[in-house]
Amino acid sequence: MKKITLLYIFMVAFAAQAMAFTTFGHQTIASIATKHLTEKAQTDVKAILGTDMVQECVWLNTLRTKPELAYTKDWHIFTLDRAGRSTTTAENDGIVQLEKAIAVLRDRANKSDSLVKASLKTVIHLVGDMHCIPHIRIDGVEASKGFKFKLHNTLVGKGYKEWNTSWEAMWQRGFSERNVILSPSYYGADVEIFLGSKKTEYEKGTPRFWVENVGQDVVFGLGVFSPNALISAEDKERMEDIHNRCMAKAGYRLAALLNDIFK
Amino acid sequence: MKSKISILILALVATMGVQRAMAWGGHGHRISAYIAEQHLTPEAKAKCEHYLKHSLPYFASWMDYWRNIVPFREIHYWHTCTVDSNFVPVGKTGYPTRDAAYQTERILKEMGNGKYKNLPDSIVMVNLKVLVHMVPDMHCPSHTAYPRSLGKRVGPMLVKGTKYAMHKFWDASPHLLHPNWTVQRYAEAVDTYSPKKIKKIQKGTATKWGIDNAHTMEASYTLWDSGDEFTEIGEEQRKNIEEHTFMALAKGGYRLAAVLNTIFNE
Repeated sequence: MKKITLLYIFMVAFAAQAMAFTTFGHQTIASIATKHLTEKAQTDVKAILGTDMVQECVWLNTLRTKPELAYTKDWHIFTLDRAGRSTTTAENDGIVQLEKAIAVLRDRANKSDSLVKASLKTVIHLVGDMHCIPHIRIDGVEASKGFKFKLHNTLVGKGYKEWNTSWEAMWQRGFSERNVILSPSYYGADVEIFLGSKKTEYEKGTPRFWVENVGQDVVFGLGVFSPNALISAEDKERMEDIHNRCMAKAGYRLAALLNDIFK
Repeated sequence: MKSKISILILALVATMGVQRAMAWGGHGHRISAYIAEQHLTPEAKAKCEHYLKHSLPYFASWMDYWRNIVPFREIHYWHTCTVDSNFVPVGKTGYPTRDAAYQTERILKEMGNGKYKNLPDSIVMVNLKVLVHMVPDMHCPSHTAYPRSLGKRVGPMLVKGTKYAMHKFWDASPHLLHPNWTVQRYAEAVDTYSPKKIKKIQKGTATKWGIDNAHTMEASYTLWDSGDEFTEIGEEQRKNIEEHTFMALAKGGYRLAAVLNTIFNE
C-alpha cells in the first residue's frame, strides 16, 4: 500500500512537472509582463492578488495535483484545427478557459473576490502556457502531442555521441533552465535586449490569434524534429531563438491583455 | 595568414548554434560574465549589447554548447592554457594556437582599440561570444594544463558519495557551494575587490594571467585529500575552497571586462 501511495505521489508530481514551462520560465514571463503594466493595471493586479504576478504565476499547476481537480490538466493544452486555426469550443481547452477567465475579469464588479482572484491567476498562467510549444496540439498531427528523439553531437569517429531527449523536454527545460541562476527579472531583461523592439508587433491581436501564431512555430519545429529521429545538436541550438521569442511574446501579450482589462 | 585562417573559421561558424561537460559549469560562467558586465564602460556595454543582442551571461556557456558541433570544432581546444614546469606558457604541443591565452591575445590584436570596426559584424559577434566564455574559463582552477601536476594530481572529492575528480569538482564548485544563490547574490559575495585591487588584477596580458592561474592551480592541490566527503568537510576547509572559487570567478570577470573595455576603447 505504501508503495502504491508513493508511486501515486510520484506520478502526480511528475505530471505537474512534465507539462508546462518550468516555474522559472513562467516567472520570467510574469516578470517581463510586470515591467510593461500600466500603473493602474499594476495597482489593480496587486490589489486582487495581494502580491505580484511572479509569485502567483504557477498557481494553476497546483490544481491538477489535487485528485478532485485533476481534470484541469487539460486546461494547459491549446488545440488548433488542421489548418492551424483556433476554432475549438471544447470546455476543457486552454483557450476556452482563458476566454472564460478574461470574461470574469472584465465583469469583475459583479463577481466574487475569490473568483476574480482565481481568474486572474488563470490568465497569468495560461498566457504563458499558450507560448510553450508542446502545449499546442494540432488536430491530425500526432507528433504535436509530444515524442522522443535522439540528439547527436555532429562529430565523426571517437568523439561521436548521441543521447535521448524529447520534444517536451527541449522546449520546457532545454533553454530557459540554462539560465536558472539568473533571476527571472534578469533573464526577462535579457530576452528584451533582443526582442524589445518587437513589442508593439507582438502584442497585437486576440488570444486566439496569439495561439495560432505560436502554432506556426510548432509547425516549423515539427519540420525539423520528428518521433525517434536522430537530430543534430546544431538544429536544437537553432531553436533557442524561437524559445526566447515565445517568452517575449508571452510577456508582452500578458501585459497588453491586463492593461486592456484594467484600463 | 594565421589571422586570416582564424577569421575564415569564425566566419564559417558565425552563421550557425550540446551541452557537454562544461568548465565552471553554467553557473560559474554566468557569475563571471555578470561580474564583467558590472565593470564595463558604458560604451563597451552598449557595443556588447549591439553585437550580441543579449547580455554577457546569456552567452557565457555558448562555447560549451557549440564546441562539439563540427563547424565550430576548433573552439573545443580554446578552453585551457598550458604552461611548462617552469611556468612558461607553451601552448599544446604541436598546436600553439589551441590555447585560451593565445586566442584571447589574437582577438585583442584583431579587434582592440577600435579595430573591430574593420571586421564584419558576424565576426565581431562570434569573437565576443568566444571571449565571454574563454577568459573566465582559463581561470577555472582545473583549466591550466600544468606538467607538475603529472603524478601528483589530487584525488577525487566525494559529493554525497559520488566521485568528483578534480576537474569535475572545480567545474561544479559554484553550484555545490551555494546551490540556491542567484547570479546577483553570488556577485555580492564575489565582486568585493577595491578599484585599486581590480586594476592590479586586470593588469598584464592573457599569457601572464595564464601563469597566474598556474600558480593558483598549484595551490589548489592542497585543499583536500583524496576521498574527502564534501558534505562533511570542516568549516575552515570549506572556507578555503570557497575563497579559491570566489577569487577565480572574480579574476575571470574583472579580466573579461578589461578585454572588452580595451576592444571598445575608442
